[in-house]
Amino acid sequence: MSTVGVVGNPVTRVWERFLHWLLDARKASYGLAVMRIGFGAMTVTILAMYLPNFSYSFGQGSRWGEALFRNSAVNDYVWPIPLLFSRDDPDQLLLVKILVLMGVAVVYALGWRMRIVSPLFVMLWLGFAATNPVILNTGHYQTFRIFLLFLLLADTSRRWSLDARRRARTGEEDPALGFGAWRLPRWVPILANNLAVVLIGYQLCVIYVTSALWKLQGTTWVSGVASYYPLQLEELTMFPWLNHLAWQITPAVYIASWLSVYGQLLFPLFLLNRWTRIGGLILVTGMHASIGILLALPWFSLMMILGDMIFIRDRSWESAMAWVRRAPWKARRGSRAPANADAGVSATAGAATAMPAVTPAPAPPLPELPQEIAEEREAQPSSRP
Amino acid sequence: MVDQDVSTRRRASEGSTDRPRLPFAAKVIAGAAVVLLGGHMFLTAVYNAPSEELKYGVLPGAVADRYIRPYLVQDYKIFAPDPADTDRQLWVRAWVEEPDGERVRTDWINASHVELSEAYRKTLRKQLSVVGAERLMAAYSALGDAQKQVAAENHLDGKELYALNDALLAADDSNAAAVSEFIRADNYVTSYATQVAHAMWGEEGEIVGVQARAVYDPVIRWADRRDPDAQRPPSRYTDLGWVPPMEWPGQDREAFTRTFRAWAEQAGEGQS
Repeated sequence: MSTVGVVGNPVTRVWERFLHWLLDARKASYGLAVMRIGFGAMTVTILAMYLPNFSYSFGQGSRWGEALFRNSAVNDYVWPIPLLFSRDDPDQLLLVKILVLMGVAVVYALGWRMRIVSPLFVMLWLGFAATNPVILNTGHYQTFRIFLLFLLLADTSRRWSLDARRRARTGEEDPALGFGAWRLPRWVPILANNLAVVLIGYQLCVIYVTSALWKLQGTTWVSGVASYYPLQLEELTMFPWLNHLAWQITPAVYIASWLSVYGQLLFPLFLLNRWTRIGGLILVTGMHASIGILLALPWFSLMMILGDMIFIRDRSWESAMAWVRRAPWKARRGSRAPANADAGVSATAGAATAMPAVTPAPAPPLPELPQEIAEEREAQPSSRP
Repeated sequence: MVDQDVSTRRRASEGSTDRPRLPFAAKVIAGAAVVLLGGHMFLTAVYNAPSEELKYGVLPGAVADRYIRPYLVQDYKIFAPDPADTDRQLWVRAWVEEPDGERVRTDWINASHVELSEAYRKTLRKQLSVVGAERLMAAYSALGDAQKQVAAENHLDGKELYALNDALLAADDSNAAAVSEFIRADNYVTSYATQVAHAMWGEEGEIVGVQARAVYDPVIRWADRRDPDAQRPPSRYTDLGWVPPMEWPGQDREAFTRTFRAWAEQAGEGQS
């Protein structure tokens, strides 16, 4: 590990490497796509669940709550957001606006013209919050808003999207932005995307570490009985029999409490090494899944799980997809030739520095795909080395 | 062979030969972005500092607050410092003047139980009555003893909560901020209670007064969890008197009633 004879001091070298990390290629493109699809679908589902009683929550049936609406920060959003939704709207108009918001959320999930749809969705969503900030400016909606704002910087439709399909068809994998003859340098969107990845990753670490530090100031988390109490609350009980089952085994209550606190506290450290990262992600995903099911918090949990997806590198996503395509249960049918295995992997499998994938290593390279199959496999332009 | 390995590694670590050269402008802009990123990270961490003294005493907490609001507001006291161990409920009853002039007091209705009657709605947090109960209990707890006695009396004269506000300040004007916070929370739950009263008892006559109560009903304690005869510990509640009904411009009673009555029937509340 000696640095003798190497030009430049360690600080400069680390800085150079970091600059290349920021500017060379878009990071976490699959994780960002998962976030986009999940956030859009989640918004549509939540709004659909509110629809039967939308007036009670957001419309003319909810005007009684003005005492807490009046001084909410959501009234101070920048122009033109406050013009989009108003607490003076009659219910019929509000319903139309909610349906428009749902439509935009569907388009957001599909990833169509994201440079326009992403800011449009964010503006509509922020505007909608003014209808009832007691609901929409609290709890998981706060973090949802933060993630949506960060995603404005990201190229969320690089994978699994209508945009990606269109780019694959036209052969323009990465069209440069610009007006007329003027073109934005290629590194600008790459830098913005990677800043978004850092912002989201950092936010997740802040969430885990601060919530652990708050918990450590209580007595029940340290003594290990904390996870028993929320399981008993009417507000948080979806399946009473399941919750009753959950605290039957005393050691399980202690382990769940301690794993929650210390898993959250150490989360950033888990990220440092590949194997601890896998372990850490399995741990927090399990924690969120159980919170989502046992404590009636599916949206908060889903949002956190979706966010965590950016910690899985594109290479891992690609090997996982290759593995699924080559899966033994498909190979038996013989309908899909094993030649389908590649495309997504070929570009990365040869990378000299590739770490071993989570899943079995790809098979030896196979012949090139015929053109039409390659086009069929939408949204997977191979990343340029 | 070994030499070659070393030189390859060195080249890779220098990141010059096997990577595209970065334009000067890209380096400058990226550098500036990293500085801003650092500022954002620092202020986000300060905003979330898990101790008030640390946040405002040692760190620039006020600056962080200004930076975070309104777009990046966040709060990660999730189930912390200790998770809730009480059911937070808002109870409502009304004073109704019937057409023959007789005034009757209704039974209490547990509005939170009504709001939670549809299982799928539990995932759509938070329930408005639960928010009301939490705000009211917190604001009530911050009042002084003399003020709590005043709040327990009826304040039916005049409009809205002005009479109560004046009486609270007359009893003790040393904590004006706590009083106005209490009035705001009481305004919220009284306005809600008024809608509940119209929904449940509006057909019986004119609503002349409402009473709202935040009830904190503790669940079975950990130590008693295996005891089939275990009782819940006694509830805490806000002891508030009667106030006039409050209604806001633009409020649609019908829309509120449709939803609330459907849930109440499902919950089996208010059938007495």
